[in-house]
Amino acid sequence: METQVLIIGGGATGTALARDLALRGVDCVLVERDDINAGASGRNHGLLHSGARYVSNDHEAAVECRTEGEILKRVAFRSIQDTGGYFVAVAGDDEKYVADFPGHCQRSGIQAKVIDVAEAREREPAISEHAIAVYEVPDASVDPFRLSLESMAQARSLGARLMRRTRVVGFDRVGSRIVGVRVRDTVTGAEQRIEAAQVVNAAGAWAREVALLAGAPVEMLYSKGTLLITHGRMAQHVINRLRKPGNADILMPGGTVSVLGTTSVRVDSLEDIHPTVDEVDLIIDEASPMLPGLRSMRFIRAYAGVRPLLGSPAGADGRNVSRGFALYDHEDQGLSNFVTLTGGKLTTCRLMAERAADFVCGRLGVSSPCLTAVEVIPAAPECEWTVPGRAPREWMRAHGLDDPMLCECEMVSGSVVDLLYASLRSAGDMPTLTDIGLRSRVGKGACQGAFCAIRTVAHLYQRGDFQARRGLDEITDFFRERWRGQHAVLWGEQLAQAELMEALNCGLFGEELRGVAGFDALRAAASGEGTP
Amino acid sequence: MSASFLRMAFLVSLGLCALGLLWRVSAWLRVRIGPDARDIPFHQRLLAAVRGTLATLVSRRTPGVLKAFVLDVFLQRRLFGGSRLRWLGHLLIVNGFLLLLVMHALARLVTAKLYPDYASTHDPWLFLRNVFGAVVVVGIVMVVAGRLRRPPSPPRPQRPMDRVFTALVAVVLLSGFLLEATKVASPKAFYRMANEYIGSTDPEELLPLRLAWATDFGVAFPDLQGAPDPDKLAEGRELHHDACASCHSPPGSSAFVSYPISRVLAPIAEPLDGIDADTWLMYLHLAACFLGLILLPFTRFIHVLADPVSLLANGAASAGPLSPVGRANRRALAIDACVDCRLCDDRCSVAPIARSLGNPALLPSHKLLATHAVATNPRWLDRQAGHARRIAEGAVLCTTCGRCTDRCPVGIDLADLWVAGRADLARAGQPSPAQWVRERSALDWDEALAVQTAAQNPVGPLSSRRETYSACVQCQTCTNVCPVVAHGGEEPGGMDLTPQKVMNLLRLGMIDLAIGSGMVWDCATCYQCQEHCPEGIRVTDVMLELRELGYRRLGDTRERRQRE
Amino acid sequence: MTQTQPKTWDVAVVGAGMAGMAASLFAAERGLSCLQIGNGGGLLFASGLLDLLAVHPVAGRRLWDNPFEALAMLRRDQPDHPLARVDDATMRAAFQSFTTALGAAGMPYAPPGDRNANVLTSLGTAKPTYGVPRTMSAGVGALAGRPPCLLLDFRGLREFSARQIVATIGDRWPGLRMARVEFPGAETTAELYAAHMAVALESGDFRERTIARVRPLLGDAHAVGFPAVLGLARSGAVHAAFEEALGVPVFEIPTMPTSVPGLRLNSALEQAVVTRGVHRMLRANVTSAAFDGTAVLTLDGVPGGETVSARTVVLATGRFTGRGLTAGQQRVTESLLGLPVQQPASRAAWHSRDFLDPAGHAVNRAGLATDDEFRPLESDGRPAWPGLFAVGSILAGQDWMREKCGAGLALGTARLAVDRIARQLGVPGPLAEAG
Repeated sequence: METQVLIIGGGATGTALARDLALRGVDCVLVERDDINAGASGRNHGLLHSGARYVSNDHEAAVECRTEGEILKRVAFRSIQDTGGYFVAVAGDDEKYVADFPGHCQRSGIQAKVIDVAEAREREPAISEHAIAVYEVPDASVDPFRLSLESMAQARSLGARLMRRTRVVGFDRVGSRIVGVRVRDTVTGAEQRIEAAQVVNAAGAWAREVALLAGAPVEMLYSKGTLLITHGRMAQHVINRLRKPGNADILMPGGTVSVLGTTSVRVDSLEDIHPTVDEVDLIIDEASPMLPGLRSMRFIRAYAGVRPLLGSPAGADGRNVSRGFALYDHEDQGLSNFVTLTGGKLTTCRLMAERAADFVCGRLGVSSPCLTAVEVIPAAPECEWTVPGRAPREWMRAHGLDDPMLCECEMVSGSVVDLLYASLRSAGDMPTLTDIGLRSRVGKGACQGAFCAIRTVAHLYQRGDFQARRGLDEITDFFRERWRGQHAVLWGEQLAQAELMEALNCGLFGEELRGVAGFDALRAAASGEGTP
Repeated sequence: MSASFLRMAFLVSLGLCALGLLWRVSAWLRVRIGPDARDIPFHQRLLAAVRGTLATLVSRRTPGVLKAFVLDVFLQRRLFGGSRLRWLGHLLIVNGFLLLLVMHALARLVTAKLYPDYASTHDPWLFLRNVFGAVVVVGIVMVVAGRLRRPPSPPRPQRPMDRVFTALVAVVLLSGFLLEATKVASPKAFYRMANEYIGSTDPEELLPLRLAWATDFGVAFPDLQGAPDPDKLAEGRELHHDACASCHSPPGSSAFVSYPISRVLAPIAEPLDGIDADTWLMYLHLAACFLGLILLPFTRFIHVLADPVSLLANGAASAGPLSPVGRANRRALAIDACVDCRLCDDRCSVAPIARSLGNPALLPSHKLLATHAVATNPRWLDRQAGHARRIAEGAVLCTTCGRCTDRCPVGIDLADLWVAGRADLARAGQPSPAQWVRERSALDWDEALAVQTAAQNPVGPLSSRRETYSACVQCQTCTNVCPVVAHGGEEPGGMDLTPQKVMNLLRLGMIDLAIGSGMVWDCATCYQCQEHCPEGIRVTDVMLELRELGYRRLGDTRERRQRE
Repeated sequence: MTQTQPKTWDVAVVGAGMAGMAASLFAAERGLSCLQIGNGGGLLFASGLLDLLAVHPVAGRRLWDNPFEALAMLRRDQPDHPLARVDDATMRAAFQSFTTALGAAGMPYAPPGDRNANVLTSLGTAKPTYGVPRTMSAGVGALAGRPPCLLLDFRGLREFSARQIVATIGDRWPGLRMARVEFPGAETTAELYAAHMAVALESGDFRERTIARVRPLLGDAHAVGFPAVLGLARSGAVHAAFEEALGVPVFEIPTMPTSVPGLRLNSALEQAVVTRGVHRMLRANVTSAAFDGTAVLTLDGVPGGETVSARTVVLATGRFTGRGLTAGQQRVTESLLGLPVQQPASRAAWHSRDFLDPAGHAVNRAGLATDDEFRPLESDGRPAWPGLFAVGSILAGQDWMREKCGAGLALGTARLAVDRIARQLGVPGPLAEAG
């Protein structure tokens, strides 16, 4: 396979870069070892920063967020809900910080309007009665999945190619040039070689591994951030804590839920990243003074992402390290067609892509200008189902004869699953239940897949999409994946929900017994041999 | 005042009362509530009423109905199950007043005929009159106390006539006691009697008798102060025994209500005599009685008559379904049989929603008035400036659970009235939302609501709370036990959302989409879902609240559109 | 129905899941006056299958054909396991009277023996269990012998695909075929609900129309499998009618909650306890309890608020879904009486990070520690009150979902507790079964 630019990594940056290059008429291939936004791009708040969060310690980042936020609100309006944000200080918070805040905002050109505390509480009853100051800023919420999926869809419509479940396993170097990149299909194990004039390493937290594989080590730090999802939406605005950035400062409205976080813990390894009970408790403890309702809240899920940060490992945690981004050209390491694009944040993904594309195009001798700041990302029918509430509305609109509801919590019907399945198939993929979950709300509601996974699999069998024992494998994979985000928030009503899920999937279906040896032949057949 | 004038006034009042009664009672055969009652002519209804009454009276059930009649009317049996205070109060008022009526007001027709030596100022009649009066007063106090003790319920619109009549009853009782007290203390009354029976008005000559009356009867002679001469007193008592005792018992113990009042009035007995207070009080007393008599048919106290009839109809209905004519008669009777006890309100399934959303028009006691008013005057609704729809909601949001009917102490079939009244409301310009909601799709409503302000889209305290759904484990029990879902499957396009889907839409914050769905308006409010929910989620209560909200929000939207 | 209510009940059972029903039933059969409080939400989640014990030890995922051998091993390995305290005779007697009572109430079971049975599930797995309803029992033989069989499903019953089962196990069961039929009268609806189908199939008309659609598909099938929708209250008759009309054994395959067999179980048990004179207060909740010479329970959800007194109390309130246990953010507490709960040291130890961890999740073994008579213990190790017993899934030291012992736990512990209650109250030994 040949291309002008090979992009490694299908997160917010990689997909934005694919879109940027495609709009300039540059041919590119994006390889992703898992799926779109499988890393930190899909494990964050989904906050489109106004910049106000950085005004006190990173003026440059604040200004960057402000301008990029304004651009994205135009070109990616479908993925963005202009909720507005509040910065709230409560009794006991640093009053000097509160007093300095409007001045800092003004210097960064960010509109911060003071709001009467009583009025703010009337609009957002979740805010504590101990609030002492509230400012309104133009924060917004962004659906990172829709953003990346639509960016990629546009890139593909312009000729870019996406290879999911494809892992880079080696670089063929001749002198200072990488002449071939060896990739492996993680499902079939088949390998192939891609020849590209330029290679961009946009692998996020995994950029260090990829660079190392190319023989060009980069210095990176990992900061793990854990977030919680509430059962139901707590607030209409983004609610930030008005203090020096710390743990659990932000409550994000995310469609029909709220997302609360985050933490920042330095980690050394990318293996086995999952939210812990201590992190969950810390988040609730830290955020409760601002949002007392969290004490009695039902949480349906927690998740953890790893932020790739730049800088030296001197800081105690990741928060003081720059969240800015970096573009390494690796020329000092003797590589002439390999760049690493890392760091940054969701809000600035377009800008990062623009800088990288400018650089790569310079090397390719392509002079077409960047269009991503002016071209609106077009709608794509297979990309709109991550939006909460979209599926039930469409279902009501077209309530058809044969469109059963597969996911009751988030009200995703069979036709949506069919559409997603068909779109993935048309790209030559073998879609999994997890793929469908990533592109829709299936499994994201209160039951966390306990019922909908089973209905969806039955539906896919019925349509002939699934054969043999695949459904069982998919169900157990799906539950294992969902469980990683559940186990740390299981108390109260969510524990009752999880108990029901276990009673069904273990008590009745015996999924934990799959592969048990020494049982009768049918059991071995029914449970799929050799996959304990 | 001459006796003939009195008789004349009484007869005229009685005549007017009879005419009024005739008019009111004929309404039981004239008022048409519900579509099935619309085309039944008067004579058929009269015939059915006569036939039904006769059939009930001469059937094998007669003893039962009579027993029920006695128990219900005299013992207020059906009130017994509710507040004991209210039951006792009502028992005292009704029976006290009946006894006063028979023994005192109709003395000449009844008591004097039975007891030739009847004298209103002699025991036991004097004593009994005080007893009966006191009984009524105590009953009133109990009922008032009972009302005050109850949680405050929204006031129900009252007919002005009821207030007037209530005031008249108070005037009758008050003037009666005052009249008696004034007469006890009045020297003038004494002289009038002395003149008539002894033939003297000379104070000196009558001194012994005056002493006896001042001491034993409490007459307030201004010149008789200090301890009387024992000889003169004994002489006076002897004279009293010969001339007066056959008609007068000492009031000190017998008139235990009016005598204490007379002690209060004693110091001003002379000035009262000067203005002929006793005469005026008697005019007042009689005038109030006559006026009350004339007004009686036009007050809700017509229930004294209507209740037994209603109970008879109830007895007949318990034997088997009534004919359409019988039902029509029974509905027309309802408004007059209602005693406004509000027991129906306490039991109403919709009452919690009515309270939480502040719409008293949902309560049965209010709905009864509205249903009757709409049936008798098609333009009544138009005059309820802006409240017409909220009033109409009552009949529409009813779950027809029948708890009001079960509880009604006078046997009104309220649930039947609500169903019948729906069609009348539709004719009066307030069709059932189950009809007009479906003129558009749920999605259309959703879009229409989306452009409105928060103030135009009120939310409900139950459906908007996250906590209402937080225990849901998505088990589908609500849908699996829902009879509407079970039947909806047989009609093409009949079902849109199942109960579980409604709950999930609400949890997702999409109330606008849920509120116009067929499920919300098809819900039979049978409470199966709520009773079966293993996690205790109030599914039916939420449905009811959605209807109430939908009625308001969608109704406002619809009206706005119609205006534009 | 006109029985007078005693001033003090012999037994008050709190809870109406499987364990509460079993305790009420056994108490009534002993002639004890019994009051049962609470609604049967938990039974709605039951599959109709009555597990005794099939997996032990859980971490070793060892399956047992003979549940009594498994019990013997359990007694040796885990003497603190609640089932280790129930002897075989008590367990057999419990299953015997329970299934007999269910049979009399219209939900017959195959006679319980010494062996576990394998039942085909809608996911194509084979669930090991002990008590199998008659409507499902033909499937046990079919699964073991694997003759040519037909599996049927209905378009619209979203959680059940016969094609999925055939695809999953067809390579080991070559004669297994599937077919999809339209449910009569539901040709235009996208979704069907098992309970409504079950009720519809009780009408002869619906049944005939369904059978007419199935008959041409029979072919060489030796047996026909359906999702578990063959009748609700009259499942015996509906099942028999299908077998008669199709001329081959017919079996049901259990489905997801809310499953029809769960609803059947709920109503059959209601009928069983009520006909034996148990007084039930469905809508009531016990809000507090005081123990002295007798137990005095305060209830809400009943008009006027009420208290009842009982000489003994059986706590059968279940776990988290049943709300017998409450999981706070840090600790598990017993919801009603605040009894000490045996549990892991902190929430971090409650759950494994792998949902299907063979060892299971530690929080599932949390619960009430008891003495050998199932009397919950205070922290000083003494019974909380001499007449207070706890039965079923609220007990500590078991993992009924992984061990496949839900019904065994409910029935065995309830039976033993009621035996002890009877002894405590001076009632002579077990009465003959009423049949």
